[in-house]
Amino acid sequence: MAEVTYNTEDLIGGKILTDQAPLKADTYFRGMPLKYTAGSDYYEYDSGVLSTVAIYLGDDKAASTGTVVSSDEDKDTILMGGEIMEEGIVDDSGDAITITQDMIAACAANGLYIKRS
Amino acid sequence: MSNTSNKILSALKEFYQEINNEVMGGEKGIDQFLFLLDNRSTEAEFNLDKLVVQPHGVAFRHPDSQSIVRSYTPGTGIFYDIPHASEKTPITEKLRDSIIAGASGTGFSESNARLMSQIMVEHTVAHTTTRWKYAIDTMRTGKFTPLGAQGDEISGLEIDFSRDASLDITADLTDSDVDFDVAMKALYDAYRAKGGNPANLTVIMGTDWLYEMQTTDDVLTRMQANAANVLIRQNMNPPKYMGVNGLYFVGEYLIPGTFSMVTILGYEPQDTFVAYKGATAEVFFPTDEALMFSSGDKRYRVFGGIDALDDSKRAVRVAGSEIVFDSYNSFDPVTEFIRSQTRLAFIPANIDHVARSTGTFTSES
Repeated sequence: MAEVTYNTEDLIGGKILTDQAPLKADTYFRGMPLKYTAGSDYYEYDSGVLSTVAIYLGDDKAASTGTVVSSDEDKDTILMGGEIMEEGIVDDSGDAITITQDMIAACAANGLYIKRS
Repeated sequence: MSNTSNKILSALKEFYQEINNEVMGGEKGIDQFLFLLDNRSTEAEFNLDKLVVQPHGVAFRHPDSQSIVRSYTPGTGIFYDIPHASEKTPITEKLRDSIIAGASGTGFSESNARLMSQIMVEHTVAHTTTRWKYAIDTMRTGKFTPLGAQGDEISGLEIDFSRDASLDITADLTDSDVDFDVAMKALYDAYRAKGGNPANLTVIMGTDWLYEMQTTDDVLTRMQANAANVLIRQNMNPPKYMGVNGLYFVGEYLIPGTFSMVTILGYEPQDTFVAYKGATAEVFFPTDEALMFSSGDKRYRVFGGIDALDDSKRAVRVAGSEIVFDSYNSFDPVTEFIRSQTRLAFIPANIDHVARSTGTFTSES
């Protein structure tokens, strides 16, 4: 028995703004929060979701999907602003992060409006 | 991402759909049973004028003395703000690319049409079940308490009808002096003391109360010796009552020592109520409560005016309705939003004509 769960949209909640930007060499999942450190010239995973300025929006890039971002200059799509759903925000394993009020407030300061469901 | 299969794929799929608590054709919701009168307008407020008077008697006088003055109070007017509820579902490019469960073909059109209809059904059921729960809770608590995301109370939206405390009683059925008959008599007395209408007297009971009724020796004896006519009629196979989804007729019961017959009902729709995503499921009607009211009393299901977009995407004001759908787009990337809205309040004309008893039961019930 093979079971397939059909794709669902759980990240984009309203109007969004995107860009293509350089990422740190790592694995990425759609919905991963990203931070930017001045001088580093790339976005990277923000595990605390308190310095988040963007959300990864490209295809999943992990060993399981056969691709990873292999160098610090590789670019991919990020979500830089707009209305997003709480349930679509994931960690660097692709698992949902429990969103707190602190995270929502920190993201809102950077134009990412996390809508609770 | 791809899926592989080493078997011959079935050309035709079977589709099993289960959307719980969907109302079938010809049925109505319990909100329409509890709140008989609909009020629909394009307004933001519901205005209820009340005149509740118990005129006192007349006084006698000696010849040539003057008349007694009887003052007249024209009543009170109350404005209730009607709260909004609206939800939207975005249809992104990712979702448009997806297979939609139940679509047998692979074409975009069929998938998209199915997606639209499934989204609308889910919105409709969400609004419907919310109305059921709020209608019941308004009757139970004497308050209309619209909750926001995550079940949070939103300040300023609650309407407290200030029900008299004497109408919210308790019954300790673990006490050997208190049995089903005594508890029902106490509920009836509380109800009548505030002028509750003895006609069309109805009690909706939680399952603990029904268990108590069905296991009380006195009630069972009357059931067996029906000539006593205290329990007038009971169906062995409880039928649906008045075409209301989940509401079933248990029996007609004469409260001992009174002339008032009560229609006893139970309420159990297909599934429990989940208030918001991730909320703990709860029963629509609490197991330990019994609610007495007259099914003929005036209670209003109020729908206020809703702002929506018409076909040309201009803002229009539409008269209140259970649910108003519209859609709008964000252009880049193309995303369509299906939006459902309502503007709703449940307003009993006189909340003091509803009595509630909360029971304490032994563990076996």
